[in-house]
Amino acid sequence: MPYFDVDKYSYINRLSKCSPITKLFLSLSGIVLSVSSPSPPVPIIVFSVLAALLIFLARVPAKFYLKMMTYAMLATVLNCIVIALFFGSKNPIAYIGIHGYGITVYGDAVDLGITLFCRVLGGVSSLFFLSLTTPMMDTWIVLRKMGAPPILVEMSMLMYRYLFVFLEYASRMHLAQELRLGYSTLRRSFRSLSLVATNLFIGTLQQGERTFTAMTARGYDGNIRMLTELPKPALSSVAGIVVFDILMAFMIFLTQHITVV
Amino acid sequence: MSFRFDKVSYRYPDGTDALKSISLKLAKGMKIALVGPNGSGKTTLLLHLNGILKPTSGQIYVDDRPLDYKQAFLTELRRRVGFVFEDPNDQLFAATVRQDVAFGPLNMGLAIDEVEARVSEALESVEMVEYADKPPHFLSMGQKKRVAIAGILGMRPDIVVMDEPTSMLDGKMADQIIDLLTKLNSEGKTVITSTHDVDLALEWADDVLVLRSGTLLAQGSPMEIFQNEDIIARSGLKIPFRLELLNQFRNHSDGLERFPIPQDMMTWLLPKNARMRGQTDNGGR
Repeated sequence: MPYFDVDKYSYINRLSKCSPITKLFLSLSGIVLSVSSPSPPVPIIVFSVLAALLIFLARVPAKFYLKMMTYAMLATVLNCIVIALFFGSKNPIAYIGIHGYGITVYGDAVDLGITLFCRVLGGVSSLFFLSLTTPMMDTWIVLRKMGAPPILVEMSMLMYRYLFVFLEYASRMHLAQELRLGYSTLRRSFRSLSLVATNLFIGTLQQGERTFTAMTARGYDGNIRMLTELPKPALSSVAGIVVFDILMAFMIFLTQHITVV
Repeated sequence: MSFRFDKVSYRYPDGTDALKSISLKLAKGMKIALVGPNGSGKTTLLLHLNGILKPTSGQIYVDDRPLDYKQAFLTELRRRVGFVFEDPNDQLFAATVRQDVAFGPLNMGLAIDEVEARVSEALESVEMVEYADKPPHFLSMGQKKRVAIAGILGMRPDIVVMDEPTSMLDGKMADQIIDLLTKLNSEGKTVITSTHDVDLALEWADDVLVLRSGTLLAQGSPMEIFQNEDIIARSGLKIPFRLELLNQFRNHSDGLERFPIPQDMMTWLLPKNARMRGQTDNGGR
């Protein structure tokens, strides 16, 4: 059965039974700290701490985590290179080009590029920390407790559940087509893929109908009620996060003028 | 809780006549099996039991009261008639097993403590407690079916309706589901299933209804139904394996004189629920 590894680890990691409020707090404060830092050191510390927590405490395989981070950061690297090359106005440090046709690279732009990269690194690692340690259901319960519109929570719950049903459905169709040479040429591949898409679309409509019938049979009245009991946040971990956040806030203040170039 | 159908017909919006003037009675406390080939109207008939479908003509009586399609009546009916769908993916919509099982009880407006007690109880009776916090896509088909059953047990229904309980399952898992249904029946619940597995219907049911293209061909005890060659021939079903074998022995009675089959083997060939009265059933020939 196909399923996403991120989803799998969110259930089997060692922190999955921890209070989602604690994890959400850590993750959100990590994002805020990373984004508000004007220099690289704090985001790098946030990334290191959260990566260490994920790998050593939650026991998410390091190899998997690094692969995930690499994919996310590849796109960021390209963006940051563009910024480093084409922005800025002070402190020219290099010139690329021939006979007067080229670009001047400025020191402040390189700094901005590097800082931006680090901020994204810190932010992305905070987000991955949440998604790798917290089962989706816990996130929805927290969202609902925080007063998110029920329709959004209900829709994302149904989408999450049926994503896996349709992934399996799609991969079975794909296999059946492949076995009958549906992907032997580029032209046939396009045709086969469009058939999968059409079938899936019709399939989702029918599934919706059947799910609604089954829900009606259990007394569905337009509201999906759920059990909203969650593990209590451990005071020690909340205190630890608060101390970490205050420390980092000071660090931001102290390191605000640090530049690389 | 008993049901009576009086000339019930149902036509789907696309014009298919799925049920054609069916009259029948379903008694309380029985293990009832609806048998018939694909497209004979089994599922359509079952969907009338909790008011999901409303007859195009005819009347259904619940405990001798006409079935009323007002919301209050339907809510109570759906609590008392638990419906387990054939494909558990249609039924399991929540992100974890616990939330899914809690859905029905929460819809009944019970207190949270009571809901939690019922969820644990339901998961215990289908032996799925350790999967409570897992999402349905982590489960095997047999486990999903068991969770689907737990989802309706939490509502404490009087009747458990299960459409094709053994489809998509391997032999051992199918047996587990059937044992579970038998257990529920012994706890006093009426269990109604549909199946095209004649061996299962012969073994398990107290009361068998044979459907064929939207009409009721026959209703009776498994031995009455499956030993009646006329019904079998008209229904499009096959003869259950045990009875087929029994017939083979009987048809070669000259051989039997030379190699007599011991009586206990003949008894073994009879389905479990017919063994008590089995002696009178097969004694004549």
